[in-house]
Amino acid sequence: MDMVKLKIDGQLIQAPKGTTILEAALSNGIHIPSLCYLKDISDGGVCRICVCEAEGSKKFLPACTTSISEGMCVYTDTPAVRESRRLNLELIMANHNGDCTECERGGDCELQMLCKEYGVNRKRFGAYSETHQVDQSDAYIVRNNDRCVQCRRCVSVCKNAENVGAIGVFGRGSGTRIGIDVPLRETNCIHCGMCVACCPVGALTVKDDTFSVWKAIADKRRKVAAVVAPGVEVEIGECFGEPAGSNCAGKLVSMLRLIGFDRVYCAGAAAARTVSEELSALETAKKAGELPLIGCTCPAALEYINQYYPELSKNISRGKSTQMNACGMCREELCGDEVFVVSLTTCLAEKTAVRKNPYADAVLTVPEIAAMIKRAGVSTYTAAQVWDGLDETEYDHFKNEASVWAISKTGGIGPLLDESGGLYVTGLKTADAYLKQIKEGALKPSYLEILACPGGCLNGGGQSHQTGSAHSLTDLAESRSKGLKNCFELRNTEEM
Amino acid sequence: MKGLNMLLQPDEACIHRAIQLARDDPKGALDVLKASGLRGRSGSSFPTGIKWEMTAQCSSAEKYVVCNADEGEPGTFKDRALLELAAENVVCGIVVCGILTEAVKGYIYLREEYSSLKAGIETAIQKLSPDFPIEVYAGCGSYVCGEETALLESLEGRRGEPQNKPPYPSSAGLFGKPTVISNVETFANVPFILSNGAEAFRMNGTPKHTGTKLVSLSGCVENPGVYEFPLGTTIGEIFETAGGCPEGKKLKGMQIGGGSGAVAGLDALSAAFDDEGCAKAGASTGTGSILFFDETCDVLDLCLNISEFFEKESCGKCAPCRLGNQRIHAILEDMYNNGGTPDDLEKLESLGRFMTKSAACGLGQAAAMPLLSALRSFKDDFLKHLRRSSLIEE
Amino acid sequence: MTNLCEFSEFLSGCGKEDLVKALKEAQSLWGYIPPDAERMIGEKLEIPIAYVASVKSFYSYLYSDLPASCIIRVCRAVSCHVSESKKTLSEFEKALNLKAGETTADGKFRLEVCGCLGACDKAPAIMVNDKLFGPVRPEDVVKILENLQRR
Repeated sequence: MDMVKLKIDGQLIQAPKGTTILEAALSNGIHIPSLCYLKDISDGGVCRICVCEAEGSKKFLPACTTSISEGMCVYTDTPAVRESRRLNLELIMANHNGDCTECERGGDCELQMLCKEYGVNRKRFGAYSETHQVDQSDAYIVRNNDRCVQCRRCVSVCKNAENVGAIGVFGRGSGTRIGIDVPLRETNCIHCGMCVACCPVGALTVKDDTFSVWKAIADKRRKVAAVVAPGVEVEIGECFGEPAGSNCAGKLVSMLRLIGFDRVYCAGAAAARTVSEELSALETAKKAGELPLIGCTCPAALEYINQYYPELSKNISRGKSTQMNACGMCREELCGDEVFVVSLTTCLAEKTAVRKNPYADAVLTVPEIAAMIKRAGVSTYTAAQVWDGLDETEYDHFKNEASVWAISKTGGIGPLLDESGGLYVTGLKTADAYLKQIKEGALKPSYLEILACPGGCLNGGGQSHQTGSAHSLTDLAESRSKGLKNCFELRNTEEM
Repeated sequence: MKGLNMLLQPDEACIHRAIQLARDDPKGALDVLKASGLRGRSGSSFPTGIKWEMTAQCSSAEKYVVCNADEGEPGTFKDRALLELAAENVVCGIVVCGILTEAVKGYIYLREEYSSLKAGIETAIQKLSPDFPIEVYAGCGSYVCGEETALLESLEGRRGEPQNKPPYPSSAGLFGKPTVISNVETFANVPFILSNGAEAFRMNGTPKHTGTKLVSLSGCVENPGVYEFPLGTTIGEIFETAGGCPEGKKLKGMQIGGGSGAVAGLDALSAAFDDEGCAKAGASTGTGSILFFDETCDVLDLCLNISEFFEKESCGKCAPCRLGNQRIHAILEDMYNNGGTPDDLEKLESLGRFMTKSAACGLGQAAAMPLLSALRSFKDDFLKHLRRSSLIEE
Repeated sequence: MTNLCEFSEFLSGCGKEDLVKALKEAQSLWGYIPPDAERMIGEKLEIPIAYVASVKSFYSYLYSDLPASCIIRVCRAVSCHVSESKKTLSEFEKALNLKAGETTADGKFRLEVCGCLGACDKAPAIMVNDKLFGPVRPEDVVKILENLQRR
């Protein structure tokens, strides 16, 4: 690989040719702030927060789009650069309603963080008059353009990673706005939720389902059970300052019990059931010559297939996903009681799935779970300390559960089938290319499992929020899956 | 016809000679073009021969030539004159470029406002380009499409938003293929150069800036219109050639290079109209237009008008241009109507600097140029409004 | 609608890169871009509806509603501004009894403010549909409107 030598802030750095200034800096521990950059997904160059000075250039260079060159001298933190960033942020704030105290992302917002860092005077360019551009048309996702910073991450991820393109940019000049002209309900949105996961602020949020859960918990006649998707174990800690990939199952279970859940199960316990169901369905499909059998783990991917490849709809497995099976086992277990089953996932599309097939009474995403934990009589300021001090406890067990809890690296069930002709794909952009080939008959897998989010459920639409430089097609899922894999092995040896 | 007259009157013999030469000896023709010293007339002043050669050297079976006729820069109308009076010169330039670069197709991106010229251009194409297909593509009304990457986006059916460079169009342009994109006037210079030779072309202009330049003159001048001058002619001479100041008026200043050009006082009259001369006067030749204004003109009001234009016409993609123009407009409007606040000048300066340094494309970087230069050369016009405000103590 | 069939035929020869062309074609058939045509473009060209609408909203000469039979565009760019186009504009507003951006009740006239028309030597310039006029002083406005009424 061709290497390029350059200096960033006086530090001599070597990086492969074609690397951007931002990536080269990041991999050498130099932090350059940004709002629009989304690793591997966005073209960047929009927010201009990441501008740097470079010797020999009169203009500032955007670190996220400028490739490094031999002998380059870049300065990422000069007074002039700081001034440009501060002014930029002040202008953004002059077009932002600043309702941080009621915003779902307050305290977990990239803009808020930057404003603090750069000492931004919110009112210097006059008070913002709200436009009330709020899109409530969709049943699950809300867009509030009074908070939007027009970084276009949502636009990029929807188009470039998911191949959907439900979010457009409208108008031009100071009247430019994102996604409001065509209400989300009228678009081809498949509810993968990646836009929500990638939004640096609170412009895109999930409609809050925690209230029904609180209500059920308060109702003493009801038994409230949590069914935790394995991905949640490795993401929940991120909301309390733990690095990505830390497995926090023990603390999560303790916390859920403290909140008032009567039972806490791991969905991984249902994997064996799903595997055997899918294998027999595959057997039938093979006999009938109706291949590929398409796995039903991901509701967003199924929606995509129904929309764009309706001729493949008949191939979708009629079985249940692991999460569904776990919820079903939970109902069997507690039969006789008045049960309220809460599915805890890293997925936003699960919310759409339960509406069609009410196997759970509520679905919560990771940010919602974190919000519940923070609200559970724990003040936000001390949530982290409480979290740190928690003891770890064990999951409840189903009576008839298999001795092995299984989880695949991506969150799907496919790889566990051990099927030689199986095809397992994550990210709809990638998947679309395969679907085309399957449609044309050029590719004939026996089993097909598509997970809509790039990297799979561990980079799902209901994940904990991460900054743009952390997001990528695979990196984030990869580091989270490390936590997952360890716990899987650990549990295996314990129970064998 | 005004001033010199090389570009605005097509000479049929000259046009055919040029095309023939390009056919017979493409490499030689490219050398003549390079020797002529012709530079792009869009404002970038990039040597045309070198630019075309870069695309010529790309080994791709599919290359394009695009003529930028999206003349949206306020105060500029020389491309309209060219396409109205001398479409054949322009088409000849495109045909030659097509031959030299071995392109498969040419496009003329014509702004919607000029759609009435389409028929005339198509006649010229039929006449001069039987083999090389050239499509006249009518825009839909967007200032930013004058920026080359935005224009290509628009040609591909998308929003006309400038793209990150590199890659440059010369290697990856229209549909990702090597593309020459040049200004109407640049193409119009080609027939003269090829048929009369580089030396004849260099007779006009300065050693560094060769040839003649079309200048659009408007505002406080006796005979507004399009003129042709050797590059390096002083702005004062240009002004006098156009009849000077109309009777009863007194010249106050001028805006040089289009709506995003610098606003300058009378001392700029002595500046030579080429890159170096204009740079000395704190300006640039831009699209080659000069707007003169008289004593009754309030420069703050002028800047207010310009900022309103840019606030609307920014493509809205990058934050400095979208938000900067919006705030500059708001502040100027407040100063104009209510006298503003004491720190307005400082805010305007820093907004202007911010846009110049941090905006994504050339248009966004230039949008604050009128304001920044006006704050230097006509500060009193701003202070006058500030003094009206009770917040300022005399 | 016979136009829709005609339009559908036009679209069958189009690819994704012809989106703007398709929008213009729709406009030439209907005088504006009706929602049905917009949807059809999206389906035939396989472009998400949000993107069709997004591109449409970018260009100022593409309309979502039926414009007037006579669109009067008054240039407010800087050259016309120093020639007092503001006064010409307000004269039009007065004579038509509306504000820029609006259409008269009878649907005949629509008044618009526009960027540079490239007719700065004729400042203040206006464009009526695709025809240029200039210089248009405030005192000329009533006469121009009378002529247009007659057509």
